[in-house]
Amino acid sequence: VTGGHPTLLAAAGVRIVRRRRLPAAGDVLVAVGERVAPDRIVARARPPGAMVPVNVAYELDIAPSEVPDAVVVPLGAEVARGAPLARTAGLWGLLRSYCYAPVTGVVRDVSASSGQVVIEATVPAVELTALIAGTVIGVEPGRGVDVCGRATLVQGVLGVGGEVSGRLVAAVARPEDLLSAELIGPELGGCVVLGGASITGAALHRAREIGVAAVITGGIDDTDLTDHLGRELNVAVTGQEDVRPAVVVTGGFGRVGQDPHAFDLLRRRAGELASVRAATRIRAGAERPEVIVSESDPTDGPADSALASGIDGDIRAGGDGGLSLGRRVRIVAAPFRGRIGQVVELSQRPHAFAEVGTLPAVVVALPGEQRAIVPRANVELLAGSSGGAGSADEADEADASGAQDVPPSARRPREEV
Amino acid sequence: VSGDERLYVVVDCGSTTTKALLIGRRGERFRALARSEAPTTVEAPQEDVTVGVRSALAELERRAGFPLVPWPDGVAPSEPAVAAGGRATLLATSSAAGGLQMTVVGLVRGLTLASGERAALGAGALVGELVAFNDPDSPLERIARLRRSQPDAVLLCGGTDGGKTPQVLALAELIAAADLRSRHATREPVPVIYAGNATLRDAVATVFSDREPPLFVANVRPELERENLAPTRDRIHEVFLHNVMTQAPGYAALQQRCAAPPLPTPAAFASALELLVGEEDAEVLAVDVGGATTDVYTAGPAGVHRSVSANLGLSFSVGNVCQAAGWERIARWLTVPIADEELRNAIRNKMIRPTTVPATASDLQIEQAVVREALRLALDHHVATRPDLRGLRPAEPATARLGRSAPAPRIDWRRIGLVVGSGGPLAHAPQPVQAGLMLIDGLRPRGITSLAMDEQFLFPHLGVLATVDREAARQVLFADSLVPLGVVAAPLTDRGGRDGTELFSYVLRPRDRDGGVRRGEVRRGELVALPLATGERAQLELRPSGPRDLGAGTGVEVQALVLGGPVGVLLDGRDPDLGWPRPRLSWREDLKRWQAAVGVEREVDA
Repeated sequence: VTGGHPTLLAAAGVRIVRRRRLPAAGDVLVAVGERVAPDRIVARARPPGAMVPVNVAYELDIAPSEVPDAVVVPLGAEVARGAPLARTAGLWGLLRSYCYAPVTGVVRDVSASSGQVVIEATVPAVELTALIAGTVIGVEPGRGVDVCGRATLVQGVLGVGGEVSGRLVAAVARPEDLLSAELIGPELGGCVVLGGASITGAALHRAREIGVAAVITGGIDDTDLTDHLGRELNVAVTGQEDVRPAVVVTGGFGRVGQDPHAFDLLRRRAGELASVRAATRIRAGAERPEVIVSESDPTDGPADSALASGIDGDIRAGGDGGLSLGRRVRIVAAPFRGRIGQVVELSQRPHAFAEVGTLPAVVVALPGEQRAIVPRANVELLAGSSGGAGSADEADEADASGAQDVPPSARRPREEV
Repeated sequence: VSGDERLYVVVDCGSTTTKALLIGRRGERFRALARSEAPTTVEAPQEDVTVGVRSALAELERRAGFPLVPWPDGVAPSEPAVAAGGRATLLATSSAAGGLQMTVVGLVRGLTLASGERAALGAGALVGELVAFNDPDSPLERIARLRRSQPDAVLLCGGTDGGKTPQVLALAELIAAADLRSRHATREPVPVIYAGNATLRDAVATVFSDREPPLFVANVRPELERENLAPTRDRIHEVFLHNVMTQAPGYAALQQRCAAPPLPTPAAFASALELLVGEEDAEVLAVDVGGATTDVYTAGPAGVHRSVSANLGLSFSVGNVCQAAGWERIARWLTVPIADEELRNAIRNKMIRPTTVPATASDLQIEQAVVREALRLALDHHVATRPDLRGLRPAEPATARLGRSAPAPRIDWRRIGLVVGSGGPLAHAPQPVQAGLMLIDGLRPRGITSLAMDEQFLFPHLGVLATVDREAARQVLFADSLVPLGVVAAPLTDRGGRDGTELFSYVLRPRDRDGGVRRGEVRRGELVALPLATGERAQLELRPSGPRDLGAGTGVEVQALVLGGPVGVLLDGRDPDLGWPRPRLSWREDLKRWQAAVGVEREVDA
């Protein structure tokens, strides 16, 4: 989070705005004021394909100047992947060599100076869903829409697998429970599964087998995630992984209990359709994964203009005061890693931590009269409300429109064509 | 502030923090007078870098007690701040919005592409992708790589002047086909700098005829045996100022108020190193351990050479260091046993919450282990990017080395007199001696080498200040920026042998007081620490035992005047590679012994 203290949001009944944008120019299929469901296609694009040069002169071992005569597909015509693109004169087909098109596309250029043929690759259409139930409050012609609606929103710290949706099911009873393989039955296929403090490797394997859409877990062991992804996750930029279930981690690596508040919010919405954005960008323009359960029948009108223009609500920014007395926080580094408590003291003077030096500190009251003195950098604000009138100290509006939404189908293809 | 009224405010816009520094006279010398910080505001919701700059300036003015740089709302002054009536001259460096990200395209990896990469790195760019004509992947994959790299500018080089290299045109067509657009909201076409075969310029221009024309500059490698990097470097700076900085939100306004062109932070860092080297004959090796990358610089009379090990950083990319080094090598630096799974989880937690700081001895050990390995890997990378360090004679033609294996690259420690450490994990080490040990363990300096820290990360500020007031920058560099840690000495050559073999004998004679002379021998496997307080000077005499080289030749005694610091004088008899691989248990005992020798306290909580 640029500027403010790192904050995770968990709130019900919040008005949220989602900025939905195509990765390339296309058509917007809805109008301002229109009501949309989470799975409604709101925009569609057929992005221009990459220009793919084929070195025909080299492939056929001919001079560049001979290339125009060797090309068998007219300029502007389509050629299928693997079909002949050019051929040498040969001797009635004997000793004739061919150059085949590496991609399906349209021949855009034939160069007699470099001996290359350029094909504009054909790309499948990209479709963008509304992600949340609500009202279209803005349209950027050709690019996308802004959708506003009320929802339960829970943010995580790391997500892999991109966007997915499914029926929300709580597979464990308590936020500190372990999600084991026995708890994952075939009825969870296609569902968004709410877990507890960790998920076992076997449970993840089972979830994959039966086609679970997404798993929400407090913690996960690195070896299990590595196994799931088929590679080590070395840089915290995610969302492009081609894996199911998608995984949203709300606490961190290891065994970390879910925030009971967030856990309860989601559990209350069990049985409903949940949208999961399992994407993370920790560097500039921080983006955290999120679970959204839209309110099926929002009674409110469109959001006000401040929200629509993308100004952060208090909840997202962690309030103006950021880290302040009384705030709920999660400690995110040893020795109290994962513990949740309340800020009771913000010492003006840095605290001398044995072994690690003198650092600005915060005192956190933990359940059971325990108090922890930890570096300020090692706490994360937990912001949110439980919905309903006057139920929380923060405003009940949030806007996470800063993150540009990318639909699963718009994910950058492995080979960009 | 008296007499000389010169005042400078230098702001460094980092990716997360904007740091402002006030420089002016205190007595006879220029000193750092005040500092302030504010969050960088390039990203949403502010999306204007000047918001952060102005709040850092406001805080600086509050501390100084008088106005420094007037910045009336909504008025865009056409003159630099000084002329507008402010008291201080404003200067800036920036690595915010990702700094200057470049992709380099060339013919052959080892030749023109390497020259192009050196020019880009020297200009302070972050080189994201290298695309060579002779890469094994398909044009399709290469276009995908070009697009994925999302550069701010592309450098195309290849071919010697007058050479017959139509392949360069194929590369130009590749770049044109990729149709690269700015990663900022403007979506402007990405500028292409052409620094290849000059005779092909017209043909290259034709390739781009329906696009933004390329920027032409003198060939980076006009002849096979000769590099000419400076024109390309200058052109990249221009592109940074005119294309990149003007597109990042708020930069145009900042640029207008600066008295000199803002520099990319790494270029400013390099400028400070040039200042440090000054007229000295020795070279300086500097390392900057950052969140995303580790930069290594070697600076000497011949100029500054910079390498960037992308993804060898301590936060976002900490996992890469572990994978590149191997988890085993990270684990070997831990004096307490930590289960593999626990180590891996701790590293990943740092990755997803990069702003956390170690609060337990074991987390601190893990962080410092990663620093050691990042330094080791980054130095290897640096050596690999410096052609003159590859054991080649300057007279040897480049063609002579094609087709036979080059000697293993190594750094010539005889030329390096000083190692400077910079970056959070080194600067924030609870004990300075820990920073010294990380530098020594990671870089393994040989011969006699001084160690110092740029503790407050002032090098970028001073580097840009040097472009307008070299003497002021030099004075602040030595008074406020460079903190001496001590000295390390180790044999250049060690043919191996058993632990316990005598390597060399030493005499340390304090210069500023009588008595206190220390003598002894250093044996193989030992780390001997001789205290020498900060500010104290001493004469260090080393005599090799047997056919060893301590820097002056095999068997030749060496003498040096050394300056003390928290590390004191460390005599390092350990293996250059620290005996890797080695069984973990005996290693751990050695590790504890070495740390005890230098006084690192390692009481570990359970």
